[in-house]
Amino acid sequence: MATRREKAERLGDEDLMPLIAERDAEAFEVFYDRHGGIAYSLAYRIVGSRQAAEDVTQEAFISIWRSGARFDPTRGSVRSWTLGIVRNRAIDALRRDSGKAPKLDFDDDALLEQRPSEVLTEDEVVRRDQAAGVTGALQELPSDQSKVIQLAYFGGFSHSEIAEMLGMPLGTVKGRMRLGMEKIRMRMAEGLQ
Amino acid sequence: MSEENRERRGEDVAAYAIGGLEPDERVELERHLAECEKCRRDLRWLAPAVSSLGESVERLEPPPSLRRDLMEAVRNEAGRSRPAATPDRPRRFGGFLLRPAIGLAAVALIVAVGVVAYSAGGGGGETVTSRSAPNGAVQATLERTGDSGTLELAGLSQLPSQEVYQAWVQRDGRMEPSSLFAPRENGTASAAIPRDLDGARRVLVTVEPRGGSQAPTSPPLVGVGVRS
Repeated sequence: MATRREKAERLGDEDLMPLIAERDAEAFEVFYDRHGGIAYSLAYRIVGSRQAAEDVTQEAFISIWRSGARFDPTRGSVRSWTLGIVRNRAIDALRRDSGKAPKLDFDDDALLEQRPSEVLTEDEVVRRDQAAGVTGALQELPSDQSKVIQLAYFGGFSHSEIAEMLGMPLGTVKGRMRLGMEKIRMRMAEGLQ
Repeated sequence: MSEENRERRGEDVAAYAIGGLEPDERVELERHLAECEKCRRDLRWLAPAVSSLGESVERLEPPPSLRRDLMEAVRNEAGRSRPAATPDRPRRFGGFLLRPAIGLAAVALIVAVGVVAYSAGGGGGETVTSRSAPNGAVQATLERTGDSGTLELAGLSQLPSQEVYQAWVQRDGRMEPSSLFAPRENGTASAAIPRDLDGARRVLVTVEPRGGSQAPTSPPLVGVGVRS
């Protein structure tokens, strides 16, 4: 007879979520085994230290465990929902640790002074990409589009913060975000990724 | 909508998708999304691209201690809260609850058959207690005095900074927005329901974007019947 764990392993992510909502620890263990690695990797990419990434990942998964019923399948996959939670937790941790105010007022030099080394500045984002050899859709984008997307998604910067940081009009930043995201999506739709 | 506005909304949706809007802009866009099917469709279309950003990072192996500590915490909580009948009963009910179109009705039904206790309070107040279903993790008590009341909650999770709990008064099939609140560190919270309990059927709680919503955007976590 199959164990609870074996039964859970046969289920798709969406069918695991109701079990997690019912406090099924085996289902949650399967869920972690499927997504814990990428969650930890994403957290590390954002917060920049293994200990902080571990804390963020644990916080995020405990949050999911306690609120599994809040997953809404109409808004995307379990995987993307999980990554969204991890990303938001990591950005919160980044801001908490750096004492980042909701809205910043800085120039490039002041930015470097105000933020601790682990906070992702423009250069840090680019450096980490080079060091880590990031693969995937972002590599295909023009660097000006890739940069604003990475600053927003991995650095937690708003478009107006990015505009100030890079010294470019707000509309240009927003336009590059949109163009870049649309290109990534189109390439995915074309099956080129 | 003019072409210029349509263009601006399209840019806002992309910025929103990757977390690039200012907080006030995010609230404004979320209000717009609640009314605009086209922008919701654009957001759904972009979702896989957003997910691919998270997938693009270099893969690292999490330390075994993370899994061990996490599962220890989870098993401790599961042992405390799992209903006795849970292991072998059918699971389809949970999946049913997750479907948003019927989630609200489902919660109303669950609460109606859940643990409900009434007791008379002093000074004309009335206490109604209900436990959420199916996992019973969140508990709510409505302490009502006349047309107003206080919703006392326990077992709430801490939310990310861009989300907030919101109370709702359900009446004649409508959901009327009430107070916003955040839980204390121990997962308890007190939410004022300042008015409009007369004639109401139920008070419910959902998770909403920071700033609250005019209509619920997530299934209710818990509901408490209002005795007429």
